[in-house]
Amino acid sequence: MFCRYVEFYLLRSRCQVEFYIVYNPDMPKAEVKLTHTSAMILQAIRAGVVYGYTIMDATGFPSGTVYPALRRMENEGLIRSQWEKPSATDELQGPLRKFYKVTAEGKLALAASYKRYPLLAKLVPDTPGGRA
Amino acid sequence: MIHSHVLELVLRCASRLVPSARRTEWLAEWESELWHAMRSRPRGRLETLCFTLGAFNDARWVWSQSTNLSPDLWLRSPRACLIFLSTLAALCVVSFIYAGNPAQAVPGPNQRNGLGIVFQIVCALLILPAVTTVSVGRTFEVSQSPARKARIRRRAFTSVRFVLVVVIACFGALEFTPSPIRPVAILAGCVLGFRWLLQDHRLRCPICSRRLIRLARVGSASHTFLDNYGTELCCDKGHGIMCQPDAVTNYTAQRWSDSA
Repeated sequence: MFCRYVEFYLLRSRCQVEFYIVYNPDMPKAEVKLTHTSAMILQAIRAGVVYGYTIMDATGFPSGTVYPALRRMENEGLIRSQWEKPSATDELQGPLRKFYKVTAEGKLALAASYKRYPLLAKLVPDTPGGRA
Repeated sequence: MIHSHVLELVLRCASRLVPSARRTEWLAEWESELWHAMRSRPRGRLETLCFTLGAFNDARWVWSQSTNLSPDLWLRSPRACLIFLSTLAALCVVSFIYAGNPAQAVPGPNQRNGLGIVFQIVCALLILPAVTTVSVGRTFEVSQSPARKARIRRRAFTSVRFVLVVVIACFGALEFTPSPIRPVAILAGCVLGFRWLLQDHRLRCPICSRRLIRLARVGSASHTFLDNYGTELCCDKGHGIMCQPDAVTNYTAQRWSDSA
């Protein structure tokens, strides 16, 4: 039912028949199943806890769990990382940090995780004011 | 009390695990996080040390993602392949001689046993066409034929591997299977070994005999009709590209394109 249209080409010169099936771009992607740890980290980022160290604080996981999980999720396209932009108050705030954002795909995966882990949102509640 | 320089040293040690291309960014991220960790918990030295030690786990993960530890690595170069097969063959022979039943420790000059093994090998060669394509692949046009030295080296490599496969299959079956099923085990071992040998031979560069790397899949059976579809493989030494069709027909066959 997501199939918008099917085009059928007969390329006589190459004696080749090709089917082009174009899917609706709004079609929901396959649900990515997250482990509870990954889901909690993703939820923390969505809640506004965007730095590695603060994610550790929010979730209670050690650094050896959080950072590899962040890289894995970034590889899978669920989150994306970005370095802070330098500003005039750098010296006071310390070195620039890398922060993470949930992608559209990550939001879909997280929405699916709420069904599997109903208490997820309560474990890591939203942080008022965005970045922690 | 742990000095911040010690923690930085720990980070630098962990960073040695990270591939050099990603090391600078990885270290910058960890150093900035460490700075903030120390700032937020000025007295929690042990906690900060635990935080820093987690860098090893992260570095190990990054290393594992960038390292190809596939079994293919053991067989990629001709030398590695011969070492691997020779080691396996030596283990089977040594195990048969020393760890086997002392009564049957060293096979005596039993002509019947020897003939039986030869018979099993011949049977395996006869069965082979039923389990795989016997063709070794049309790798070159006549005009592109490789140098005589390369041809001889390639044939010698295949011959040595054939002998090693026979040794592994026979001694492995004699050592690790009970006597009633030994003939069948030798036959099955030889068939599987020869099948692997042929398939591996087709996936090697005709010039340097290194195993080819899978480059891309071209087309698919469900989208293509009467056209070539299959896999393109390339030699990591840059000798050329091999097109291997999924379905072999009289007009699509495995072909090698020399880069020279």
